[in-house]
Amino acid sequence: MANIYIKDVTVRFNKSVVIDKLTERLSDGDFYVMLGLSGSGKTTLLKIIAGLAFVSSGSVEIGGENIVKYSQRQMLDYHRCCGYVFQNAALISNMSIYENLSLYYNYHTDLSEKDIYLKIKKFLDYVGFDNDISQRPNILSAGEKMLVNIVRAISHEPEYIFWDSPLSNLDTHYQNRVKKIILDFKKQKKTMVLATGDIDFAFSIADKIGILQKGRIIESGTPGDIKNSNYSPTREFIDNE
Amino acid sequence: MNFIGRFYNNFITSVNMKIKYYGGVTALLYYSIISYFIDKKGRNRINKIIIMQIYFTGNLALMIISLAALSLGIVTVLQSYYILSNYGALKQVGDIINIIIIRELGPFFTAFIILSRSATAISAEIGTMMVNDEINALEMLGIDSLKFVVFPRIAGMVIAGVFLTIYFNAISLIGGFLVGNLVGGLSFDTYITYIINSITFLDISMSIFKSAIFSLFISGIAIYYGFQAFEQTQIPQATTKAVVSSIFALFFIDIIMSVIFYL
Repeated sequence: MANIYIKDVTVRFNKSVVIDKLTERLSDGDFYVMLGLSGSGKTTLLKIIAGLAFVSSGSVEIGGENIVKYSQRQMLDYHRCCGYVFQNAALISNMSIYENLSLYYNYHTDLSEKDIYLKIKKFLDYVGFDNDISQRPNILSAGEKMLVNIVRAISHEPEYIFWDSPLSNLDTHYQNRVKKIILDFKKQKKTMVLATGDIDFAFSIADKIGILQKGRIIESGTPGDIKNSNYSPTREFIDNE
Repeated sequence: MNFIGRFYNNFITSVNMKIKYYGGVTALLYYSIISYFIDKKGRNRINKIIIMQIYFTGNLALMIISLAALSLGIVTVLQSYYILSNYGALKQVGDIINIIIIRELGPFFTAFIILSRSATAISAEIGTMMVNDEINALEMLGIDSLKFVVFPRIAGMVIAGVFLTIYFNAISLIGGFLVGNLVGGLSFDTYITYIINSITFLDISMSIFKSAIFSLFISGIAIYYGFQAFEQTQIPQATTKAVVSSIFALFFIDIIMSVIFYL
C-alpha cells in the first residue's frame, strides 16, 4: 500500500471544466471521504484516483508513480489492486450473478470452479446475500445489487477500495448493512476513498474529509477540523446539509 | 469570418473527424486482435464468448439468410434464363451466377443482414455497457475490455460472416437449380457442369475473403460507435451512426476489392 498524491489535476469534458486544478494528499491506510453536492465532481475525482477517468492535466501519484502516465497494461495491473464499488452497481447484465463474481478468479487465476465458489460464498455470507446466484442481476433489488457489487469489489482482497455513493438509492436496512461493511474495512486499515452526501456518516467514520464544490476541494482536514471550520463556504455546506 | 474562411475551417474539422474515426476503428481492430494473441489470460472464458457470438450472429440468422439466398438464386436464374436460352447461351448461366452471387451479392447481402441484425445489437449492447459502467467494472477487475469485450465480438462476427456467406452461396445455387429445372428442365448434372466450369478457386476465395473483411469492419464500426455512448440518449444515436457508417464502408470496401482483384 502507498500514499496517494493528486497534484494540480484538471479534467475537461468538451469545453467545461469538471475538476479544476485539484490537489490533495491521502496517507496510506487512511479513510478519505469526499463530501459535496451532486455535480461537484466526487465521482469524477474517485474515477481519477482509480485510473478510470481521463486527466487533462496534472498527475496522480500512487506510491510515487504517476498513474496518469501508465500504459494500458500497467493500468490493468493497478486496477487489480483496487476494488471499486459503483454507485449504480454496474453488474454485467448478460452474465449471471455468479459469473459476475467469479470473473476475476476465472480470468486471473487457475483456481478450480469449486474453490472459486467457496471463496465467493464466504464473501456472500459475510455481506448477508442469500438470493439465487445462478440468476441474472436484473432480478435483484437495488440493495441486493449493491451487496453483489461490494462482493465483486472486495472478494479479491484489494489494497485500495473506492466507494462511489454506496448509500444512495438504498433503504435504511441496506444502508445500515453497507455502513457496517465499510466500518469493518476501516478497522482493517485499508486505504479507502468514499464519495457520499451523508455528512453524519462521513464525520463518524472518516480519517480525513475533503469538501468538493464545482470541481475544487474547498477545504480538507480531519472531521474535527471540518466540523469546527470557520471558512464560510464550508460552514454554509455543513449547515445546509 | 468570410465564406472561404468558414469553408476552410469546416473542411479541416471534417478531415480531423474522419481521421479520428478511421484511426479509432483501425486501432480498435488492431489492438483487440493483438491483445488476444499476446496475452493468454482468460482464453477459455473469451473462447466461450466467441462461440456465443458465432451462435448469435450465425445460427440465429440462418432463417433470414436462407430466405434471401433462395430468393436471390431463383430471381437471378429466372431473369437470365430466357435471354440466355434465346441466344443459345445457356452455358453462361454459370458465369452469371458466379458474377452476381458468388463474387458480389453473396458476401454483400450476407454482410447487410449481419449489419442489420447483429451489428446494431452489438452497438447498442456496448453503448449500454458504457453507460452502465459495465466496461469500467471489467477494467477495475484488471480485465482488458479490448480482449474480453471487443475481440470476441469481432472474431465471432468474422467467423459467422464467412460461414454465412458460404451458406448463402450454396443456398443461392440450389435456388438457381430449382428454377432452372422447373422452368427450363435443366438437369442437375448440366447445371453443376455449368457452375464448375465458371467458378474458379479465386472467385470462391474472394467471396470468403470479402465476407471476412466486410464482417471485420462492420463489427469494428459497431463497437467503435458503441464506445462513443456516454449517456442513455446517445445509445440510439450510436446505433444509427454505426449502421450508416457501415453501409458506406461496405460499398467503399466492395469497390476497392473489386478494382484490385478483377480489373
